[in-house]
This record gives sequence, structure tokens and C-alpha cells, in this order.
Amino acid sequence: MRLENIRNFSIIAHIDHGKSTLADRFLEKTNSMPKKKVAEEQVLDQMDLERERGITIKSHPIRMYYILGEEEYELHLIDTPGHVDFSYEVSRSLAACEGAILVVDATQGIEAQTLANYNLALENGLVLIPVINKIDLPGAEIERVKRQLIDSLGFLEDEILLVSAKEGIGVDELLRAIIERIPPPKGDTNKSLEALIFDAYFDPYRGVVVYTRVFNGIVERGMNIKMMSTGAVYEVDEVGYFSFGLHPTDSLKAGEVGYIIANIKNVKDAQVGDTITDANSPIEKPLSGFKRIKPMVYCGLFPQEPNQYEDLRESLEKLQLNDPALVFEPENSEALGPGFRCGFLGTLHMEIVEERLEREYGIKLVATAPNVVYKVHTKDGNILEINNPSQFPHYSVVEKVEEPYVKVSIISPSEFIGPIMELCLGKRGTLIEMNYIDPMKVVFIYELPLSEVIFDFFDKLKSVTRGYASLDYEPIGFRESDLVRLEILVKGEPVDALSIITHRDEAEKRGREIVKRLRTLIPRQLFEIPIQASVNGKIIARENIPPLKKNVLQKCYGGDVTRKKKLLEKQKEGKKRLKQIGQVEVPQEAFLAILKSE
Amino acid sequence: MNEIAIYIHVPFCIKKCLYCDFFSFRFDISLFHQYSKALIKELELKLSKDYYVRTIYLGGGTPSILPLDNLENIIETIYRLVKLEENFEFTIEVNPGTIDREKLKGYKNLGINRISIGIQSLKDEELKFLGRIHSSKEALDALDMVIEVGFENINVDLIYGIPNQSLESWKDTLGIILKREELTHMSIYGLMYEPGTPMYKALINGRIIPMPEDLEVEIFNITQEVLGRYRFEWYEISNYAKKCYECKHNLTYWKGEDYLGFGPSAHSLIGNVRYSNTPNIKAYIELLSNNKTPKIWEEKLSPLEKAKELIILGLRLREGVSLEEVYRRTGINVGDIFSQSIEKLISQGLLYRKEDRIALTERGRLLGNLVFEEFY
Repeated sequence: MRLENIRNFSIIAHIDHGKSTLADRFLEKTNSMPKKKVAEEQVLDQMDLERERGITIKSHPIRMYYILGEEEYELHLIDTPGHVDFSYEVSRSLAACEGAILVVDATQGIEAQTLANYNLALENGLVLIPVINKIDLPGAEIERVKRQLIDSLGFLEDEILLVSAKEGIGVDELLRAIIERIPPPKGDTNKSLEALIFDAYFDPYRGVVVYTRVFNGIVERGMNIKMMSTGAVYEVDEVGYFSFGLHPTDSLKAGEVGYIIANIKNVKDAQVGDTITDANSPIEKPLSGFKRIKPMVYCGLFPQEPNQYEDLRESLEKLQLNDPALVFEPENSEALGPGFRCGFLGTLHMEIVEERLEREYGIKLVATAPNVVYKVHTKDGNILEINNPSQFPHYSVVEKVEEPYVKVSIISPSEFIGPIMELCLGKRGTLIEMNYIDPMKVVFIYELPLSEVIFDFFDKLKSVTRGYASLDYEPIGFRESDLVRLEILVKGEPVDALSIITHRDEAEKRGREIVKRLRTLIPRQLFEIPIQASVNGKIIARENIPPLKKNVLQKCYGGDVTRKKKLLEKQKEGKKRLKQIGQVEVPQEAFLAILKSE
Repeated sequence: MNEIAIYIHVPFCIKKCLYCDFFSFRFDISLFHQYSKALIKELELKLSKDYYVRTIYLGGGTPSILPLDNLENIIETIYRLVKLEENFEFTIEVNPGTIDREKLKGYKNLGINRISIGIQSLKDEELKFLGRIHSSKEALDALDMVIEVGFENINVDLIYGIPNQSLESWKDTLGIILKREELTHMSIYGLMYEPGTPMYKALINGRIIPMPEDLEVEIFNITQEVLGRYRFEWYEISNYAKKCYECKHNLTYWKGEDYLGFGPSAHSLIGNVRYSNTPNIKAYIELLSNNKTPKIWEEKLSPLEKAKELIILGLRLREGVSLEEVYRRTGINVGDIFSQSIEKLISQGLLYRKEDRIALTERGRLLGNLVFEEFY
């Protein structure tokens, strides 16, 4: 295919604005879908989880052919993940395109991810086609949404297309606009190979399948390619394009989107954003924008049944083959036994991994509350990256602490301005700007510590805005914060598993909550048990569990023996789950209540 | 010759008390006649001259509901079928409001020599709270009647730990009872909230605020002290007796010795075999009218299980358990198997060891469950 007849594009949208339905319609109009698939909704979302949650986790490029006038065009639709956790992947997918369709729900208008995706697309220099979708719905406010697109995002009125993906309205016009407005890819097949990895997955039979966009040169079977970030060289086994499965071709040329199979054993060796070049005549500089993925959020995952530890390890390894963003290392918790400390891109990524472990691998998990990575500067000039509160060093050696911050954009009806500002203030947020998208709708930009955002921020935001606000955020690096380690002592013994990292201003409140909670969770014992919360060696909260003075079966006669025996057996059974902390026996539930809730 | 204790369950009450989880029905005369017929049948099926009976205990329920002539039939049946030990102990549980002088004299004539009277409290508001059918005056009158008729072995049941009960009101109750020098035995129970009872539900629903534990412990300690002054010594967690008046029948249970139970839901233990009758009174009557056993459940204790039982039951007694005797009876060396637990309990001050015996300390007596569960 001539370059002039190729179009590489994405669809970007806020969640539920109809991205996947629109993609389905394209497949239908271009006769790209195998017959038996037609009935299924959202055919591109392959994982069960993606369908259930209505979100896209992996990118799925697909090639379609469309005839306009006398010409046949090759359209590459690069579907993108639809969640803030995966914004880096989104940006790399967009980097593989020349244009994007920006879909906005006619009943909702611009939302936080509309804005975030719009900005990502602009950063990548894409031509945007604004589309108002769901125009068939009774609640559609076409004029209002048009105004938002014109006033806030700077589109021209005659650029905006009106579509109902569900009813197939406006889809042909949209396909025509793709061809007419989005420029064909540029590129020189005579130059050295220069290709972008925008996704990859692991196939147990064929190894890693790399999703790529070729910018210059040609890639073909038998060629030696080099990953520029690692310098690793592989021999290409197969190239081709996607259209419900892999379709091998002789080569992939500049401007084209497709896949490469090259006997790569782990997706880690095909990192998203990396540049592939010809090992024999490599280009000098890789494509810009490559970032090594770093986990943002950590939690402990423990098997409910200790004998499932090895299964958990194997399952995590299997998931990791396909998910380079997932990291894990063994962790031995004094409370929960052996397990793993796992790192994720965000809380959704975390939930997905947990769910897949339970569902696909049948492992019942105990998961601790998520936490972020802290950078602890010690007095001797070292910087420690702490992903587990129990490893936070002693306060005497801590010089300062940094924590990750995010830029949060919130879009909400203007009636909730007050509650939102109050919420963000309580979460240590700094207001950067506030603008009206239209008289009824406002966008806030805040800077907030990520730790506050992953805690219960989204739930609280939804509740103070009755579900009307939308949220997006992106990392903006580490900042110094007045963070302390809140230590919990049970009868004078510090319990690492219960310690948390918190802002100094919050420490007392959190400390009081935790000791109060523990007071009700730890059964009384023969002696008094003081439960204390301490910060930097100073006790800031204390509760006492009074000693147990009376616990005896009052009556036990002939007919009672069996019943009473059962009672004692039950009591005894409960004690098996106790952990010894010094002299004190603490039930696992007590740990869980603290570790899970934060 | 097999020495045994006999327990007869009389599962009828005029009204069930709010805290009671024992098995009973509202008294019904026709059901009652069928029951006593079935009971006699059961006695005839199970008893023989091979048994040498040391104690008989009529419990319930409310055995004093039984009309004297019915009771006579039952008792005569037992006497006819077994051999009785000289000085055998024969107890009947009675409730104030169900006895009169004539009945009591009748009991005496039938050979009953021990009366256990459920007084529970001498405060009307407390009795009402417990759902008892009698007033404090009726309770005291009944006790005095028992004394007057000339019984020489009398037990009184009392309950402490009733919500809103004060130390003073408890001392009052105790003081009035203890003035009766004829008393030989006292069973003093802390109120327990047994699952399935109305009292338990009220507790769970928060309609009842239980007595603070500190007060309960104080009452317990003061009781001990006061009873001591009246020559009552504790010999089991909830039981006190004057010298030589320990309840022989109940000691059978705590020492893991043989007993045969009769009536719906009654349990029996012969050696390592424990079994129970159906609790369903209709089924009980039906089965016996067809000459079938009312037994519906049986367990055979392994030597280890038997040894554990001997320990947890024996530890209820002040004298504790002889580990040597447990070994002799079961072949299980408890001192070895549970050496860690025993050491731990001793170091916690809940248990002490003297020669081959282990027993609860004063402190352990109130924390018995922590001790018992170690042997499971």
C-alpha cells in the first residue's frame, strides 16, 4: 500500500463515552469482522475483565480496508487503554498515530479524561477529529457539548461530527473525515529501521509479540533488530498485521503498524516506548518519549492458605510475562506470613492483578492497603526508596522524606465547587487553576500527594459531587513532605506490620483511630495490654485493654459435657490464628483490619 | 457389680425461665401421663440388678411438678429393678410455687433425702428479670417448709451477675439464706447468656447491659468469704458444701464415672461410651411405646479423648485431677502429652501441681476456660 493511502489513528474518550462501540462500528462498516464475532459487543476488549469493567486494559491495533471514491485505504485503528493508570501506554499508542478521534458523550460533555487525552494527543502532534457521540439519546445536549468543544478545546464548529455509534449514525461521515483530515504517515523506506514499540504481549507458543509502528525503513523476517534501550539483538522470525489474529506479511514498511515476533522471551525485553532499529546499521538516536515504567503503588499480597505461597509466586511470574509494569519481591510479614510485596502502575492495575490471581489462578488473597513509594534521605546522605512502611528507617537517621505528587484534574458541575475545594484541602492539595468549561461546568487543576489520591479520594469525590465529577491525574514527581512513621506498640513491643507512614498533621488522628480499633480487636488477656501509637519516639495515643478476669463455664453436668466440649473446641480453634507479639496474642483479624483499611 | 448414678429428666416447667437453656416443655397433663408411662418403660428396659445405684437425681425441668402418685410409680420402679447402695443419695430439684408440705412429706416417705431448691434471688425485681414464677417471699417460705419437714441435706441455687444487681442486694440475699443453718449445700452460678435463650437475644440486641466484670468478680470473692464464715467450702467451680455434704451425684459427672440418664434428651456415660436420648418428647414416647430405645446419638471416646475429659471435668473440682489416676484409667500420660500447656498454665498462675495432682488456683477458678481449652 502506498503511504498516501494509509491512515494511523486512535480513538480517545472518557470512560463510557462510547469508544469501544464506535470501534465495533468501524469494523462492521469495513467488513473487517469475522462473521461469528459480529454479535458480540465490544469485540476489541478481549479479556473478561475488560468486558466486565467496560474498560480497555491492553491496546489492540487492528487493520481495516475502506474504499472511498476510487481508492482503497488501509486504516490502522490503535485502540488505547482507558484509565489513568495506563496513561504512559496511551501516550505511546498515540505516538504511533497521525491523528485521533476525540469522542465526547452528548449527555455528559467534556470530562476529566477527555481533557487528559486531548492534551496527550496535542503533545504528540496529532490531528484531532472531535466527535459528539450518543446523539440519539433523549438526554443529549448537542449544542451545549458543541460549545464546550469550541470554547474549551478550541475546535471549530464545522469540524465537529455528530455520531451515534450505537445506531450507526454518522459513522460513514466519520470514516471519510479520517481519510480526508488525518494526514498519511511520512517515512522513508530507504532509511535505517526506526520503529516504535507501543505494546507487547506474551504468547506461550511464540514468545513476545511486539506491537510496532514503523517510522522509517523496513522490517522483515531474518533481519537482526536491536532494542535501543537495552541493546539486545534479536532475529526477526515473523512480521505481520492484526485483524482478529495475526496475519503474517513479507515485511512492515515505514508508515505501517503491525507486529514483530523475534523469539523474545519476556515482555520486559520489549518495553513500551522503546525504539527498534536495524542491528547492522542502527540509527543514532531513539525516538523521543521513552520512559522506563516504574510502579507507583505497592501493596502486600499474601495467600490466605499458606501452602499456596508457591502457586502465588508462579502465578505472579506468569502475569509478569505479559505485564512489565508488575513487579514483586518476597515479603515475610510477621502478621500474615510469607507473601509478596507487589508494585503497580496504580490502584486499578492493582485491582486487576488481584482479581486475575483470584479468578484465573484460583488463589485466595489477603491484600494489604496500597501505599506509594517514599524517598527517604538519611543523614549520611543516602536516599532510600521505601515501598513498605515497615521498612521506614528509624527517625533518628531521617533527614527528610519525599513523596510522589500528582497533577489532578477534576471536572464537575459548578454547584460542587465548595465541597471539592474542601475535600482537596483536607487531602493536602494545592489549587493550581480553576476554569469554567461552560457556565455550568468547571475544571480544577490540583496538585496532590499520590498517597492521598489512592486512599479514598475518588470515593469521596464521587460522594461529595453525587457522582457527577470525573477525575484524572498524572505524576509530576517527588516532593518533600513532613512525613513520619507512625509506630504501633502492643504492650511496649513495636509491631512493624502495623506501622504506617503519614503526614505529621494527621499522625495523631490516625494514631488514635488505630489504637482504638485495636482495643476492640485484641481479646482481653491475663494482664493489662497498653496499646500505643508513637511518632519519633513520642507516644501520641494510648488505649488499655483491661485484663480478663472471668471466663469460666458456670455449669457443667452430665448432659452438658458434649455441648461444652464443642464450645471449648471452638474457642481453641479461634486461638490457632493468633500471633504472638511479645507476651500478647493478637488475632490475625486485628492485623487485617488495620492493614486492609489503612 | 456396676456402680452407677441415675439421672431422671423431667422436661416440664410451668414457665420457662428467660436464661434457661435446659430442655423442657410447658406442663401438659396428657403429655405428662404418656411421658411417665414411657419413662417407666425406659427404666425397665435399661435397669437391672447388675447395677448398684449410689445416687438418684431427679432434675429438669421442674421435677416438683410431678404429682406424688406418678412420682411414686417411677421411684418404685427403680427400687424394684436395681440394688441400692446403703446411704445412697437421692435428690429432687424443686421450685418454689410447685411444692407444699404434703408433697415434701411424700418425698421423704419415698426415700428422697436431698432437696435442691431453686431460689436464685430474694429480690423480686431480680426474680422478675430472670423470668421466675415465684416471689422472694414464696421462695423463702418454700425453703422454710423444706427445713420444717425435716430434710437434712438441702441445697439452694442462687444466681449472681444479674444486670442492675448491686453488691448490697446480693449480700442481702446471701445473708437471709445463710441464716438457715440447716442448709448443707449451695450452688452459686454467675448468670450465663446461653445462645438460644431470650436473655441471650436481649444481650445481643443491646437491650441488656451485663454486669460489669469487676463487680462480678467482687461478688464472687465476697461470696467465698461470707460462705466460709458459715462453714461452706467450695469444692467445684460453682458449688459449696459443708463438710461431707458434697453432692455425690454431681461428683459422678466431674469424676467421669458411670451414669445412666432417663427421659427425653438425657445423657448416659458408661465407661468410654456416651449416648443421649432423643430430645423430642413425642418421639421419645413413640419409640418406647414400641419397645424401642430412645437413644439417638452415641460416641465412643478414644483413650485420649477420655483422658482429656477427665482433665477438663476434674479440674472443675477444688481437689483437681490425679494424673496417675487418669493414666490408670486411660493409659494416657497427660503429664507428658500436655507438659507444655501445664508448664504455661502454672507460670500464668492459673494452675498448680501438687504431687501427681493438678488443680486450679484461686485465680484459675475464674478463668477456668483458659485452662480447659489448653487440653483440647
